[in-house]
Amino acid sequence: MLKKLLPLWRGLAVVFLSLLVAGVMLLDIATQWRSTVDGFFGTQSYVIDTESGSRFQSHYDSATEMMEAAKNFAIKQGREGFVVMKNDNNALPLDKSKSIALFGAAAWKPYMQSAGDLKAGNADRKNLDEALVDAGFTLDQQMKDIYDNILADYTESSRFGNTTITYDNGYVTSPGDLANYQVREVPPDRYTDTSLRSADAGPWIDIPSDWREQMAQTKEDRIGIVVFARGAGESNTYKPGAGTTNFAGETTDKDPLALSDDELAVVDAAKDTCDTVIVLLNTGNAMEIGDIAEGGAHEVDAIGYMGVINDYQCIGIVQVLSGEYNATGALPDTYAYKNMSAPAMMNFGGDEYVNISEVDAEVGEDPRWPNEAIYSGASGTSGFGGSSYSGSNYIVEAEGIYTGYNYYETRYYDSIANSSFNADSAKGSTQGGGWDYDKEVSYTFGHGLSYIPYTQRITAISVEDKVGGYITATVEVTNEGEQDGLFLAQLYVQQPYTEYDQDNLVEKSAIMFLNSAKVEVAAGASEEVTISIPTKYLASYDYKSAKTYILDGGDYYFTAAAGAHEAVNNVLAEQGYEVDADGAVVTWNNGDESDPDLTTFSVSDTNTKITNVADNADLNYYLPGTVTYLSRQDWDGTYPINYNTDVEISISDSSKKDEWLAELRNQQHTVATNDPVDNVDGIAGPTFQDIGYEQQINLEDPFWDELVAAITVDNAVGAVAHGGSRSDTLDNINNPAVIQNDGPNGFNRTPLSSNNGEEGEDPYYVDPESEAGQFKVAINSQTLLGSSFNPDLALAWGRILGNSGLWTGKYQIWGGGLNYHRSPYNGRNTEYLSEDPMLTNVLGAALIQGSNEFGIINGPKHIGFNDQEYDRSGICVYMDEQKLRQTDLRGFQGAVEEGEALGLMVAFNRIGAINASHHVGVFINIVREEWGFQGLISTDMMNNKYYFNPESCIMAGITQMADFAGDNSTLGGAGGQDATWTYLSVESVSQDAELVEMARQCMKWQLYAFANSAVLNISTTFVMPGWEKAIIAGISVASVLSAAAIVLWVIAEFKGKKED
Amino acid sequence: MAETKKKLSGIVATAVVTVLAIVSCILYCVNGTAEGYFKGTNEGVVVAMSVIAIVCLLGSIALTYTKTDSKFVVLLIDALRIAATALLIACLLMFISTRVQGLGYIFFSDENVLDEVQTPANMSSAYTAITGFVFYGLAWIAGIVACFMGMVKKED
Repeated sequence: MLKKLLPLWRGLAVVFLSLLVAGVMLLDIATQWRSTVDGFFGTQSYVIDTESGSRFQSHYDSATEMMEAAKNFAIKQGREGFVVMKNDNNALPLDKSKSIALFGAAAWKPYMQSAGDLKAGNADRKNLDEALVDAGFTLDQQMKDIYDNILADYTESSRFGNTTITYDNGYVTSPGDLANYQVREVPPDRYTDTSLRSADAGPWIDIPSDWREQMAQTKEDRIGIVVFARGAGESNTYKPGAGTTNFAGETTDKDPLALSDDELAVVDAAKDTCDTVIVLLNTGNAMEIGDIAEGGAHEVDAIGYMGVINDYQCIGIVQVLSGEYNATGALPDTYAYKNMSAPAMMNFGGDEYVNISEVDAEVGEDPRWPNEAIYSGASGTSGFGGSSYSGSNYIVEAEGIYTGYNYYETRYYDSIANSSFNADSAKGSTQGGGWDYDKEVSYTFGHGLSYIPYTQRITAISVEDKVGGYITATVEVTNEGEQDGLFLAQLYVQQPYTEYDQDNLVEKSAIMFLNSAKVEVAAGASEEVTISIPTKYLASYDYKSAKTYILDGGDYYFTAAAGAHEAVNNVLAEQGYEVDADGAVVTWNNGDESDPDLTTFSVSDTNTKITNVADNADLNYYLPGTVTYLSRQDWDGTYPINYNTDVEISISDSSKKDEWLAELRNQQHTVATNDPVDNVDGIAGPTFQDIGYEQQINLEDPFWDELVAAITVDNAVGAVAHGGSRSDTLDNINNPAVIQNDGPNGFNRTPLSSNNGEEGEDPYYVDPESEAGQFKVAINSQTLLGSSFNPDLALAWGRILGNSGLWTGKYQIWGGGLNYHRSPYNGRNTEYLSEDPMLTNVLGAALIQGSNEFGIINGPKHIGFNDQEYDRSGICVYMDEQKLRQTDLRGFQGAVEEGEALGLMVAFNRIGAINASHHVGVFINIVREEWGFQGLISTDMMNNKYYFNPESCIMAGITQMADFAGDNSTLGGAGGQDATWTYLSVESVSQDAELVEMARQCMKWQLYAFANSAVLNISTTFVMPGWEKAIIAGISVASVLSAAAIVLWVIAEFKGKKED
Repeated sequence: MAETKKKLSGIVATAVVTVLAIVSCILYCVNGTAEGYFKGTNEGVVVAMSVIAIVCLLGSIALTYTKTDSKFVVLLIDALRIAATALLIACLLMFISTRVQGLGYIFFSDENVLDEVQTPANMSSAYTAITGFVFYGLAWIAGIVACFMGMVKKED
């Protein structure tokens, strides 16, 4: 019998043995991906114990309060961010006696309600049409019928619980990466085309063939609101210039950000059928709207900027449209007639070096990967995967500091005040002939109309001319209307542009935004508002001579104005030029122009000497004399050429070729082989739970050295090489696991009940079935935050974000996009605030302060120079050091220095030829030493092991390299990072004491960030989840059964009777 | 002296497993060397285990041709097949574990990133990996089925 069953025993043996092997390996894999598996099964491996009386507590007593506060914030943001750009013929506020005809797909489905991972997507969200109806307006039924037909066909997809809707006849939400964009607005002559609606999408609603004539007969009773959208998003870059296709799919000569002929036809239809026409711009990418602006062929009565809305912002926008509230928003970007008129557009997108194969490494050439050939990286590739250094492409940002209004207003000023500067040259002119401001700019930065007439006049200024000092301006805001209201005051300054500056190429914008504030003023009354900004921002970086910040001698002209153009005109008038301006100007003198102050701001707030740290970000470092940076002293002679097409950039031509190649091959740090580490296994000491007040306020406390000395080499290096979704517990120090979250609009896809503990025990427990429990908190709009110009609103958002972190049990977020808009074409501009580094600076600082109050580590991203998404992974961004310090980095500087941020995420791109995440100059010298940043820094997604390497990240002070989940903060062993960077091992890095010391320092920074956050409120206890118990049980059962089957099989083979 | 008599069904089944294992191993190697996301991500241990499994399978087939009725030989034939099958499931899971993060990038990145990540080379790489999973899985299942079949029949 036993022998007869031999095949069965043998078969069962292999089955159970296979299951045993599978179980063991499955357990290994599942525990590496613990957080992901937990997310899938809805289990928790780490239970958070929230102690009562903890350091950080929510302002809200209930989840309902939290939800209502968030909604109210979003409504207020819509209200304060909405910008009235043009308002003629009393078009606004809306006349409630008239019906509203909504034109344009975005009027009914505004971006980003239809698409995008960043929207909240709550069930009670309000679109523009709904908000108008709720506010008592009547919508025109004819247009509703037309758009019911147009928008009837759509596809719906759901990813990660977020629904994306793509309308067949609606705007395209993702412009692609330098691909031809389609402006998919249905032209009016197709409104009766029954093919627009498929049979599957319900019956066609009959549209009379003479709908336009019928509506025209009653146009006096109707207001037309036309909404045009431009989508955006990660991995998207608008393709500048011609090539955009229209609704019919035909290629046109239009720029994707210009109004298409189809859109202009919609405007014309609105003008034919409505008494008043208002166009709203639903975008974060500045559009070309000269056609509908004053004097345009399709001029409309009013234009408004509504940014990229989220769930509730339309309610606030309608509150302004209706006149319930005053309009106080201002444009965060310049609206040019042609976006290509900006000098930054001379170098956009980038391309390969002429002899990029020089970067390729043959087999055996790169000692880290001796058996592999690694190529430079092809143009247009993502850098996700493949054996590539991601180093083939470059761009030269030769425009220097002259981006956005800093260019247009400075050139305007020089066209009046400095005739020798050639401002009226044809270079940069898009309208033919000499450059003319009025022909280049339709609406300037900071422009925004108020319903209620008011004035803002600067009355006093004080300047503390010292490190740590502040400029304080007093601005008198007078309400000249007959109703109370909120008003915006903006502070600007003109710094002197001296001979020293011209000799040393220290560039100055003719007008510089400093800060702004909003103030409530009663009808007919005046209020004084105080606006402050650190004095250090008055200094300019001299990278050629002093190699530090200098504060020029001469007169500094301060003024308050409703926009950059008004401000520069105020200054011109003060200087005696005949311009249309009467704004007050207060002058502060800093001595003689010939005597610049080279010392006061040559040290930072941390008393660190400031000097050049990124000479090699300048292409002239490798190829001297190649790049001419734009200098206002000669607009004609220095206007940028295209450094990809007009010259040949050859690595072989450089006397520093070897250094350049090493940078492009990402060889910033080479692991030493002769400097052994004394402490490999960690020296037992205090644990994370021993952190006290003294340690929280002082990173220099000896405790911190003792704490990180306990971390093994395996963990110290392994933990930096891992991160992104979570940081893990480390051997010996009992730190909690910290889960990370995205994104710029708040915690993505996160309902308030997302991380509930036990009811009755967790103070932030929320019933998952309740309205508040299902409320998703990502309700911010970065675009409207930017156009609010209100640091107090940014502070309020930071606080909402902080509170929502406590309620959802999420203590770390990449929650603030603070790159500046170098151009309107970056698809990710919707995640960032403005073209202006200083507006970004002050809003970012307030945002981070608000989050910090609740212990939420809010890490702004993506520092620095994520100026385009195209080739973002690895493109070399060359610039001079004044641009480096005074543009993109300045946007983050406020968040770090004034906001005291505890987190940062680095951009994908290179700074110069160096992977930004490997850049010691930027992250050690500037961010950590000059700015005093003591928190954690993450790379963007570690998408290519040949581009990112742990040893270089560690030496740049990066504390974690982003990947997907994984409980594997180890260099070796199961799941260790040595599987990715095979040349690294505990043994190899243990021969590089400097590297290991820096890795422990990185852990110190990271743990310090946790210690100063709500993470220290909690302890995490491991509780084996059900899936893990099931796997272990399965392994046990399989072990027993396989052993039994094997025994029976062997016995049957030897003892039993014959098989057949 | 009695000699082993071959059972065709068991040998054929084992041969099928061998072919599947060879194809799986080739797919793994191609996946780790061809242009695309997973280039350079192979681990030698998977190749080694695959080769050992193939050798075990070939060995078991070869042993059926030996003129011996030794129970130890018969046991060895079966043991080789069992070991090969266990190695194949180990290969499958190690293959998956080294590809799961990359497949996460390729298929589950945020929507806007998909165009950037889902390049033809990366998609080819992903599908080769998935095909490799399927072949290793088929090889493993076939290995189990084969083990229920004898490869020798002892004659009196």
